[in-house]
Amino acid sequence: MWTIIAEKELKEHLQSARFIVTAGISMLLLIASMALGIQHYKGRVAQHDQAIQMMLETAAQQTNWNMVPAAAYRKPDVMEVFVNGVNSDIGRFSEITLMRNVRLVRSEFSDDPMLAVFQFLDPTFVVLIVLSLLAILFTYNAVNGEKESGTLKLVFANGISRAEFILGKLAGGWVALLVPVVLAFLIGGLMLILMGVEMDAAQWGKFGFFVLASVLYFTCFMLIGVLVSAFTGRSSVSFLVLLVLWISAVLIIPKASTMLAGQAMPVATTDEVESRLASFATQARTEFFGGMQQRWRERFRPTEGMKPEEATQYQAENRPAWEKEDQDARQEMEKKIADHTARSYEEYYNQKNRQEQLAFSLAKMSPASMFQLAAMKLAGTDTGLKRRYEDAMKNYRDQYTKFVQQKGGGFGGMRITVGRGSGGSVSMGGSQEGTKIDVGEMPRFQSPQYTLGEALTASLFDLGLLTIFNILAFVGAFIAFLRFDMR
Amino acid sequence: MIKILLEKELRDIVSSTKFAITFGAAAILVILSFYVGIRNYEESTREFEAARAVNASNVASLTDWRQVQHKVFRKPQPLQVLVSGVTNDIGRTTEVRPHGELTLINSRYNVDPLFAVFRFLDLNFVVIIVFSLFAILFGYDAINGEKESGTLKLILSNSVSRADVVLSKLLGSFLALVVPLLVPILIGCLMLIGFGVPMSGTDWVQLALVIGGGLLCFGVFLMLSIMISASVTRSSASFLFSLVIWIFSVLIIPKGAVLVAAQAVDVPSLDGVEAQKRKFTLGQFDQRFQKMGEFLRADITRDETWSQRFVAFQDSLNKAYEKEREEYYRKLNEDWRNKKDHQEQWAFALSRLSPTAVFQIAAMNLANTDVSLKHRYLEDLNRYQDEYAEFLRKKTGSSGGMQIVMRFSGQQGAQEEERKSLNPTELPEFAERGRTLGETISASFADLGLLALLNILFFVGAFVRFLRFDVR
Amino acid sequence: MKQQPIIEAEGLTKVYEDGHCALDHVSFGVQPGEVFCLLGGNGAGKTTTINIFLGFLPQTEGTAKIHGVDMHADPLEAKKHVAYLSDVVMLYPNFTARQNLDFFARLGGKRNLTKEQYYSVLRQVGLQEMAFEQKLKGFSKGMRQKVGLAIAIIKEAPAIILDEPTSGLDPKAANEFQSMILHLRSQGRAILMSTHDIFRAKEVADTVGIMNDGKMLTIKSRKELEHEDLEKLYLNYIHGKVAA
Ligand SMILES: Nc1ncnc2c1ncn2[C@@H]1O[C@H](COP(=O)(O)OP(=O)(O)O)[C@@H](O)[C@H]1O
Ligand SMILES: [Mg+2]
Repeated sequence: MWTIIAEKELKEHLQSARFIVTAGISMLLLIASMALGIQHYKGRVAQHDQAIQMMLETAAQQTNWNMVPAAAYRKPDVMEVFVNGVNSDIGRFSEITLMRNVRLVRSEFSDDPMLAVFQFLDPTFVVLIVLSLLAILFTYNAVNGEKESGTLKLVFANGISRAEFILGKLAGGWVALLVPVVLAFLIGGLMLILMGVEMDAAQWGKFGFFVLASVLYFTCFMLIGVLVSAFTGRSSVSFLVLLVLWISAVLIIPKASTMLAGQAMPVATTDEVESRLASFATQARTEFFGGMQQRWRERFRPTEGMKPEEATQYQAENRPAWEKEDQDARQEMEKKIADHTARSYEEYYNQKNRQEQLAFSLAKMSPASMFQLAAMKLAGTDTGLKRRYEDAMKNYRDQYTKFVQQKGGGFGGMRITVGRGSGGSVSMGGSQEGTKIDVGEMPRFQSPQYTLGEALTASLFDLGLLTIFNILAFVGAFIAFLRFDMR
Repeated sequence: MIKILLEKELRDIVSSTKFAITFGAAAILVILSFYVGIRNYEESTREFEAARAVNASNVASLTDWRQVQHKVFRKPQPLQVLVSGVTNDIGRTTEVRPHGELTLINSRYNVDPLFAVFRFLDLNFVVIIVFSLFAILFGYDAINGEKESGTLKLILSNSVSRADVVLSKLLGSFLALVVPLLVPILIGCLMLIGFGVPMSGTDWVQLALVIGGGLLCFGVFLMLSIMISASVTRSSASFLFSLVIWIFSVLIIPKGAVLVAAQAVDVPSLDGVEAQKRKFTLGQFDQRFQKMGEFLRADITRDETWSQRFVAFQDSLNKAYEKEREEYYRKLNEDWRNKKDHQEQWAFALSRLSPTAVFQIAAMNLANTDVSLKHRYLEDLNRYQDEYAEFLRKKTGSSGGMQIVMRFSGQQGAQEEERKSLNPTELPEFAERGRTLGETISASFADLGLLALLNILFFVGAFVRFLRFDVR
Repeated sequence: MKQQPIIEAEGLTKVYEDGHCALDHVSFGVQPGEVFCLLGGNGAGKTTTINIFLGFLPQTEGTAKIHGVDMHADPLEAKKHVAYLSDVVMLYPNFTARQNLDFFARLGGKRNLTKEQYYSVLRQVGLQEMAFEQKLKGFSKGMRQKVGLAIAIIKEAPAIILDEPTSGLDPKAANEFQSMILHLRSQGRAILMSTHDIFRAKEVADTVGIMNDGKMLTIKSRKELEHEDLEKLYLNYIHGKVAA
């Protein structure tokens, strides 16, 4: 019996102007957003490759590793086509030097504020805003509209149970909206292949789960629509109620919750953290230089009474031991700074994590946030992206500085010799006069891996919540209709 | 006659459930956006002060101006939290060195991607999304709804001219919706005063213009949807029609326009420009390096004044190279900027197909959070850099830049003197010059005018459509 | 005793944009104190006729005059003399019965009426007292119809045009409506109403015009009808058994 209802529902939708217009628009938008996304992604890849290329070219001109403008670049990921997330907000690269901590700078939006003004049009946005709105438009009068047009009574003049009716209605409406959405994503997948974008199995997997999340999300709004429609007598009222719900769920709750969390749990700003770190480092270095000065004075003291030859002899004998002592002191100082930095950042990130958790738990009152967070985690463009890259870049920095030190460079690589009455010279540590360095030796930065497994574990909770939300809304709609006043 | 019709229109709208629900939502959001904006402003001002204090204490802990890593921070402006524009996307912190190119780092969103996920709820957002939707909800059935309920025929069975009917419809619905909207806006303004946000007279004028622009934007959607209502027979069809227009103009056209312009108008990547600069600087570095070696080999008398001569020599080197560098960078920047400007012009011209984008561009210009904010701010910074270099020259006798300072132990006196800690208040104060009220207004004038024009256009459109409306 | 008719149609013809001829040279007149019933099935052209009389629709040919004023030539003047009840009576759902009445009364030129005057008209059309100050949202079709009729009455126009006024009314209300119409007739108003209800037409009409497919087949006075069965006559005309 319910299949007759489902069939009628499907036919009714397919024949309505409302369906043609809205389904057409959503398909168009999904496809257009993916096409623009692919173009943009290609641009990003080109930019990334060009930046690395130019860095290497400049490096190849150098005779000294200290002069290499080393930097680690974030590698664009195809998943950005679907879920841009915070990708354009966080820095694209970090300079890799001994003197500075890793810091992602020059986000796409800060380089190009023009893009920031209206932000991105990615499929996630289309699903988040447009599909949910259409889901409501499809369902706001699902039940009370049939009452208003008198068809509800006609239907129930036949031997059909309410359960069958609502089931058929839900199924029919759902399939009607599902088809254009899935079709649009299939076309999107095809475009990826045709436009020569390389994707590995894990990325296709993530894409698949993204489509699943999208379907779960708009289903959610369809069910809410039917629920409200079965709760209110008149369709004009249910539409208004749904519109207010939609505005709060999609636009207000997410924004408001992050801002609430920001105010409830303030976190020290990076400027504060960095300034504190800088002053700690300055102090440590001053101490180190002070100690060194002190030591050298001590070391020269015994020579005061000696003859020049004896003094030279004495110095020459002791110099290796002294230099080792200095070297150790320097390493200790550097370790002290590094430890302090690590600890401060650890604390900073812990604070931030707590703030973020509060913000996201509040935001998850809304299915829109559940979807958005799940999608970003699937694509790896969530707030964790920055952390993952910074960690990987820190490791790379350690590796790279070790490499440079091996090559004879390192901290304070410029060496100035000023002889007494014998002129002087300036040289760079590790310089092989005239010979250019071999960039092939340079260790390359490897982007952090974000496997399908990791993506799934990260987003599982949100996807689960979305599913539970669906079940609740379904049960709610079902019960509401069983008690619907048909008069 | 108009009076009767107008009065009915006002009453009809204000007494409806639709009005109660949607106006309630809009009012809460307006007030919320002001509240959030104020809290945000307080928070960022606190951060700003804290960062400045840390900077000052860092300076105070040092004994030599040459060691100072002086930072300046972008000061939060009250209007920026109401119309955030690009403020959160561009950096806030700059390390000011006496020479070299200055950069802005630590944008709000880069530092706190948490806020980038859902972004901020500002007044601008409320106007764009909620006001426009509000307008459509009341406009879409203004004419054909009356036809469906039979009242249009009843009205026209009296000796009322159609012009009177449509005029009172247009004016009545505008008044009935705008006047109530002014209430939460006024409450928001009172909150600004109550929370002690330091709004200058200029700020108030600019805020008033933003609000005026918002109401114009609202008007555009109202007039447009009434025009649609007078052009389409059934209200369900005109609703769908208006909603599609809303989706496109609010959500799609602005984003799409920028992306299309970014694809169509080619601008070389900034990374390329940066790489060219780096290459140039490294080349300079090599040359400088050799010159220093030459100096050291040539000037071999290590007398009392040697170290001063060395510093003076480096200074002259710095000056020469800095000038060369500046020249080269300026040319590169200008080249890039020109291309970028061209692209931006296209992007914004395209996006102006959407009335909400027109409003947003106007509002950002009024709040000084438009795309050129970064450019303007960097110009201010460059001016400050000169001031700072001058200051350092006075303090240290050298204009800074790459410096190797030699200290010979044994000159005890000199060391004692240098040990005195620095006084951060001596640093020149950085003040954003920004734009004058006149510049701000002239930057937004065209867009405000465009909004007004669209209002008139759709007003006339609705008028003409109604004169031809089939009332049967 | 032929007076100048208040409502007068002369050779009214309407050809719609799609070429459909909805009215074909229809002529009739309604005198003061006369109830003229346009009787015809769905699509006969009744609403089209009425729409022309109110200037909602331009006629292709002929003239429609109210109180001697050509509706097409001077609609604003003509409409001063006519009150109307439309076939769809939804009215303003957010207004109370009195507010609806007040608005239309003032549009019709009746300023400064007191609450009591409104109530008395609403009472006249038989609306329950308790509904006077209720919003129209919850009203049944019959109740809205009564408010609509009150709107038509309160204008005190010499001509009253009613499009299917009795459809959807319960028998009691229909009966009250009928006495209302007779009361108005006694005041000397010219009343033009359309209906497809033969029984109602026979009860109230002084003159019945039978329409089908845009043509006025016959116009019979009450006297002429006294000796005939209107139903039979109607069906005969419709089926073309009697030549017009
Ligand atoms: N706008 C129109 N365009 C074309 N034909 C129409 C239009 N409106 C009505 N008609 C046709 O004119 C005829 C008379 O309609 P109408 O006057 O509404 O009939 P009634 O009120 O007697 O039921 C019908 O056949 C109808 O289909
Ligand atoms: Mg009819």
